[in-house]
Amino acid sequence: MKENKILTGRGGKYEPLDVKGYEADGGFAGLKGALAIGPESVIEEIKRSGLSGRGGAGFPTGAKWEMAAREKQEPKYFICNAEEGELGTFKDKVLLDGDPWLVLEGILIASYAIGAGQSYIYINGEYEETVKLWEKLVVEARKAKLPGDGISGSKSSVDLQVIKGKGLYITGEECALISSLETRRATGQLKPPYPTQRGLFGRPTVVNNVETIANIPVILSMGAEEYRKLGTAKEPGTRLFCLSGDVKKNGVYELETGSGTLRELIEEFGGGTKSGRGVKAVQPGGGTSAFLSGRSVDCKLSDEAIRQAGSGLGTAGVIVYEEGKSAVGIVKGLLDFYGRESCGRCAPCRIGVVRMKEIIERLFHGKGTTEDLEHLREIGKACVSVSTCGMGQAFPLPVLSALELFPEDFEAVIAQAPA
Amino acid sequence: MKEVSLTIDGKNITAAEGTTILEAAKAAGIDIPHLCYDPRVKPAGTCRLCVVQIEGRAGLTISCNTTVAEGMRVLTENEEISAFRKTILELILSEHRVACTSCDKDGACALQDYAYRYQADEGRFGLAKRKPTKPNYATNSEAILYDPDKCILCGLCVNYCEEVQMAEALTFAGRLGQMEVGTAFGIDLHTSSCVLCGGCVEICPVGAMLDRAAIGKGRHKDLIRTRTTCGYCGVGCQLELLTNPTTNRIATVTSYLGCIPNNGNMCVKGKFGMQFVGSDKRLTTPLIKRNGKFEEATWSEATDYVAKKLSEIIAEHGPNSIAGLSSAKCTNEDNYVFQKFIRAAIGTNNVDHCARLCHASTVAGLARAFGSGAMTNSIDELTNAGCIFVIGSNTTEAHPVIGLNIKDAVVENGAELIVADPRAIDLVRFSKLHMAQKPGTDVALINAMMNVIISEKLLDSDFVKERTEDFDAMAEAVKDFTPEKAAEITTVPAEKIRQAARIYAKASASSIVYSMGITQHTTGTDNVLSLANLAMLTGNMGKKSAGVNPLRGQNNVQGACDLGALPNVYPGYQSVEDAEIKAKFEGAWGKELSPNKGITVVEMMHAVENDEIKALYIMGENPALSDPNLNRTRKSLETVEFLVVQDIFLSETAEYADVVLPSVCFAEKTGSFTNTERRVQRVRSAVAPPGQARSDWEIVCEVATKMGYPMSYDCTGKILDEIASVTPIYGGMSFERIDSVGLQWPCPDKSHPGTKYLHKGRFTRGKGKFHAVEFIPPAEPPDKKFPFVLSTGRLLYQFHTGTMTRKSSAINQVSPTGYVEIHPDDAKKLGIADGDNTEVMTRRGKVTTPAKVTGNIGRGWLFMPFHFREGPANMLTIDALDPLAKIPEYKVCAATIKKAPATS
Amino acid sequence: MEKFGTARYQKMLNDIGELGVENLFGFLGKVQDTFGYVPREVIEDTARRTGLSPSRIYGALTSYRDFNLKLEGDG
Repeated sequence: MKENKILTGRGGKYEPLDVKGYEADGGFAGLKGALAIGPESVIEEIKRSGLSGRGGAGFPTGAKWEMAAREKQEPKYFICNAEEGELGTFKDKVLLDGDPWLVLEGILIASYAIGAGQSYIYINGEYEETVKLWEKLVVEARKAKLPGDGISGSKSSVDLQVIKGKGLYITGEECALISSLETRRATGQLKPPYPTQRGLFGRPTVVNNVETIANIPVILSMGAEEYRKLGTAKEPGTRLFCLSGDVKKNGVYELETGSGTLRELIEEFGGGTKSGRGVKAVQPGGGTSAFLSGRSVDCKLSDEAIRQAGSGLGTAGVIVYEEGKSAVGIVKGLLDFYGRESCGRCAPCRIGVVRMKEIIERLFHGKGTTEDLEHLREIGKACVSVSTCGMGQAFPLPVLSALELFPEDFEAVIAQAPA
Repeated sequence: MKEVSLTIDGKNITAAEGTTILEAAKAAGIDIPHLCYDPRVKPAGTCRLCVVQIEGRAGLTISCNTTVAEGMRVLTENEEISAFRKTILELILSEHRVACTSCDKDGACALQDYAYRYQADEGRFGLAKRKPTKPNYATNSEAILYDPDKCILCGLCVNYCEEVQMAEALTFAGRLGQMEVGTAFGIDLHTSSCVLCGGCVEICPVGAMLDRAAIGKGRHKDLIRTRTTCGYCGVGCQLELLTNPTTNRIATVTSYLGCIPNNGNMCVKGKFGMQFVGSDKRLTTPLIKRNGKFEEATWSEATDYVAKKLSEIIAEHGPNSIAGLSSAKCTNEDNYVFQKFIRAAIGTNNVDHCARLCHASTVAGLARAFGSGAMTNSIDELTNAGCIFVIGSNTTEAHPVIGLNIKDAVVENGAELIVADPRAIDLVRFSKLHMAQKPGTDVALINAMMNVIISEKLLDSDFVKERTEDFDAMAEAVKDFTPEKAAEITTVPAEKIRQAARIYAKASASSIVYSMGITQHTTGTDNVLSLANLAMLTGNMGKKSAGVNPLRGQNNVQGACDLGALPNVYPGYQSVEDAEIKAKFEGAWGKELSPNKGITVVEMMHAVENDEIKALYIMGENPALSDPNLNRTRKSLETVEFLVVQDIFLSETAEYADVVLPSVCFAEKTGSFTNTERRVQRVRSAVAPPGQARSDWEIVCEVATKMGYPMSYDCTGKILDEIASVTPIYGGMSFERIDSVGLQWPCPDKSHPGTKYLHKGRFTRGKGKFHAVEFIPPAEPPDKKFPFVLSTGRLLYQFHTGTMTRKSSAINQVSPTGYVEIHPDDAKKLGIADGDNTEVMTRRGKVTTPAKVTGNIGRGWLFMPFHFREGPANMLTIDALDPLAKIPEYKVCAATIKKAPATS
Repeated sequence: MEKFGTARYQKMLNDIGELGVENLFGFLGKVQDTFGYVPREVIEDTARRTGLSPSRIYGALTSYRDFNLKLEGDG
């Protein structure tokens, strides 16, 4: 199994602010190509490429752009989502730091294609250096002569605001992110209307993840046809797999979809588990993805295959848990995090996450009952089924799957409980 | 609107496209549970209880944010859905401190209802703990209590405040765990931008927000609900008075969704202003003044005395030496009986009421131009107007619920709002254009707008040609009235006048909304005629969402006018000088009637000075505070030979009376009020009257009978029947017909559906009549000695002379006393700081009142609310009258102001 | 971190050019990063400039972990 670095290949080849260095390494080919064929053809090309979102939900990118482009309302907005708050996920930072001009080029193409005026990049507040780099980058970009300058009537085609996130997981969710930029409380919103219809300030808005956007210049410079040859037919291209947890070596690895198995990823790139014991469980798609048990890690690295195994590829944040760990402790760790992150807007998530956290704490400290397990299942299922946004619908998934896959771990802590 | 067909729970349903599943289900009698839905706000989708199963869709969908579609098959309840609902309810209950035992909302709590329906167990996920007590934004509020332990964070109150009232006072604050409803910076509610509409209390599905004064006064399940019409302003909101039968007190007031005209919305007066009803200051027994002191009397003593004195005065000085003031606060039935008493029992047309002081010029002006003097269109039509031109109406304060319609029209439907007002009133923040004309220059402004419309050919020539007359005379009058000329007079920049004219003329339907800023001038009738000109010029008459819309002030000022409490007309605006009509009424009333017009309110007071009026019978009016030039008015009240006052409180006027007769207030009487949109609505008694107080009509009937003119009715319904028999525009009215949503006049017969807007196809008078109106400056311009222009007006929180509103603790907290508004530059020059006591003086009097320094008013202008007996603005106002309508010029007089000398 | 001062705040306003709803969130973030909190006068001033209500801005900021409305240790 070998990496194919179509996105990360340029990392470190030029000084981050050196636009010339980027250009010299083939940068802006995609943007030039886009300007040559016009917005509609750009969208067609992206649709043909089969690119889907890399932020977790996997929505087809070209279709999203087309929806926004078709709306009559002006102005339109483009937002690059670099909040990257999901547990076990740190791939976007690699692109933002290592090849910022590639991401910027993607943003320019996207804005051009959908007809956006103002665009934003919303960066996780913990990436302080990255934020500073991007603020300088925008200044440089305005100074530099870029392809596309002047076509919108303004001197520079770069009308990008760099926004530093303010410490909330939920702002990674597109509606909450939009609310945030509107200086509203960061909360999920009802759909419809969808952001492509009425998003930021009530205008058509496209929100794309950094990795998604980095694919854009690449597709346009190599062509959709070539791009489709990479990865599986259903999920063309590469994914940046973030490997973490109980592996010897954490890291981000760019692999074509379907090019190997989870086990190969863990062993070849991660050097196997820390202790050398077997893999107990894996969350293949970030902290809100359902667990796969160690027996299911031979599935291929594609969303399709991982779904068949019972989870999803999500953000491709692969978190490995080795044998010997109790699922109760793992789940407690997750709920400790998510239990503080509900936006509080809708009742099941706001209350459910706190009640589940309380229950798991009780269990963890040997004070739980079998009734608690029922309550965990009941609340978890209700949240998944009726919550407003992705967070409420997803955070119970690892809990529910843990109850399913590792019932003995839960029974063990209940057995200790005083009668 | 396209209709779609779908099935909900197997039931075939059709609903308009765009309807949500929840609403369609509701209309079909299927109640999908919800805690965060209200049709007045956008779906919040926070409670998630309303999930349904839609065939062919994976998972569950919330029904409050999903619109119906053709062929859709919806299931609102099955085992899975019920289980989820139960779980959600139990989660909510784990946060909501269940305190039904001591909660006012017991019996009217949606959470309680659903918990019962789904048999949710409040303790299954742990009982909610009491949070540490700490002050919140409402702790110091006299109006509202907020209990975060009961709050379920549904968001309805915050959304109502933002989307419906647009007051932007409430917000969610804090993160998960600490999340609460609050104000900006946690400031006290009564110091925030809150307008105390009570919408948050009303919309709260649980008991987290309560009417503070109602706490402990009765649980909702124990209270009796009486639907009635609000007794405050002319909007005529439908309210429900919730009374405690054991105490005979109103515990709290609510309204209900879907009612006309207020759709469940209220203002501070309706919601929090009802404490006066149960006040211990109410009059409970007749009083007769002996040796300068009131002594309690029996009814028979009192009415004997009144009948005897009035009869003696008639015998000695003739019937025209008596005058009566009827009341815009009283019912149609009271007013009808009162004017009949004055006309038939006394024998004079000297009957008038306070409409003289607010909209006499409307009645006079619109009757001349169109043939009838009332709001041409309906309140709900404002919502769909393309342009709303508000001139001389501080709508959000004086008619707050109509203010909601205007704001909604602008924010939701994109209507273009033009505000012409000397002050930067609240509506200005929603307006496209604000013209701050100098007080008393409205004719100049409107003439210039018409000048632009004519010169830029924006007029509706077809309408002018087919539907109107005398266009040329009007056109001639405005020919030279360029915006530049008007700019000099009004101080409004010419370009703004042009823009306003264009916006008004070009909109699909333009609605003029005005009130006393237009009418209370010596040129009041001219002002009204000008507005009528403007509307006819652009064809904005006789069509939906357009028209000329005077907002009437008091709850039943429209009805009091309609029922003939005016010196020149019988009920239904039928002239007393028309022999045929006089004969009709003589036939109906069995008495010879006076062929001469009577005299008006201010004239009555002046006639006392000349000894022409010997006796005044005042029913529910308070001229000792409401009339202009109070020193003069009070002198008349003091010197008149015999004064009868019939009222609910010992008002400033009653103190001058020889006999005081205790009457009942709106919450204790039955009958009808007619609101500003000509809608006749029911008034229903909710509590028993205090002491021996009696209905106004009953008292008057007794006096009349004792004077030898027998008057008696079995009930108020019978009075309305008599009204219908002699009043063509009320011909079809009856209690039965007005029971559910009222009926808008004209309604000539029992099968007529009422009239939503007037002058469709034909004006009442045939053709609309243009009038050439010349600009005439106000009666008393400022000069060296009195360099300021003083205007008077109303406050949101107060009503008329404050006799009712000032009994409310919630209102007293936010509006404790009067003040004078002055521009910061003027204040600085005079060394006056905000809150300083000042002396305001005119040629007629002097009052001491605190200064409110604000940029909302122009330089050189002063503004005073008139509600307060301490520092009464009407000590200062001028009693110069409009020659036609006899309305005094409350809006302009010359004044001076200085810092009051310090008192020890 | 700097002590809040109107002159410094004014300069920040000048640097951003025209303050409107489109750049308010980023601007308030900068105020936070510069002074360690967002003073009440800033919320009131930016509300006036953008036409948003103070309650809306206040309520919004209280939902973020990294916004403070008071200087740390200032009660």
